[in-house]
Amino acid sequence: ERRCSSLQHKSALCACGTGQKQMNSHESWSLSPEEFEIWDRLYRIKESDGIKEPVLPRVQFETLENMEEPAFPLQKAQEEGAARELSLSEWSIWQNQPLPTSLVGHSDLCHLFISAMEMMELMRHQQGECSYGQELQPHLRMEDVNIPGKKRNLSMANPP
Amino acid sequence: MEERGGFRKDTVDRLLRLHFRDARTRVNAEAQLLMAELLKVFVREAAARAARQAQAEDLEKVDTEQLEKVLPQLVCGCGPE
Repeated sequence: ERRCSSLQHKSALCACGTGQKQMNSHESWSLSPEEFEIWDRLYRIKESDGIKEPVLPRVQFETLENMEEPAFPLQKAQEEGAARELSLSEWSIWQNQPLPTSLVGHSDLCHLFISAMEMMELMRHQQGECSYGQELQPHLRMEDVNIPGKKRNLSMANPP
Repeated sequence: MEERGGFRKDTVDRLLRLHFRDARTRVNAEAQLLMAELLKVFVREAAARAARQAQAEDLEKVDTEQLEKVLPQLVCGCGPE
């Protein structure tokens, strides 16, 4: 989660770094004047490019109080419609199979994500009874679950 | 030591420090080098996967759309597990 936001910071950092004077040394952390010139000419997104600055979505917890993070220049740009938020869900139908990798293979978590997307794809066309529920129901042992006295779950109340 | 096109140790150190909660947190030189390598691998992986996606779509140019398609699986599992 932190990694996502740090990418945002990184692009913002480039913009800040240009104001610094200690850029003559190649050992320093920021771009050298030559590098800056190349970045400015080839990679920097300018208004005249007609492209919106890409930004990553921010982490938000629906059920927790969110920590206030200071707004970065890119977020301001986004509010003004000058940025495009990269979507993690727009191509969800692409995600039910492992996409090709280069040097880094898929993690266990990634495989779980792919399986879940595949399962959702299968269930999308299901009507009536949920097959997953039917499959698991016979294995339910009441002593494994914590059911507070009065609040009995509806599905628990009428076993098959 | 530092390959052309990679991240400089100083840059990595600066980027990491930008996000540390405790100002006393330090990163030693070896960890800086490792982190620079990790960042390079991450960038290359993103570029290679997006390029592969463009190839699969018979496109000559990688656009944001191709990156967006590979992004969920790229970032999935990068965080703590």
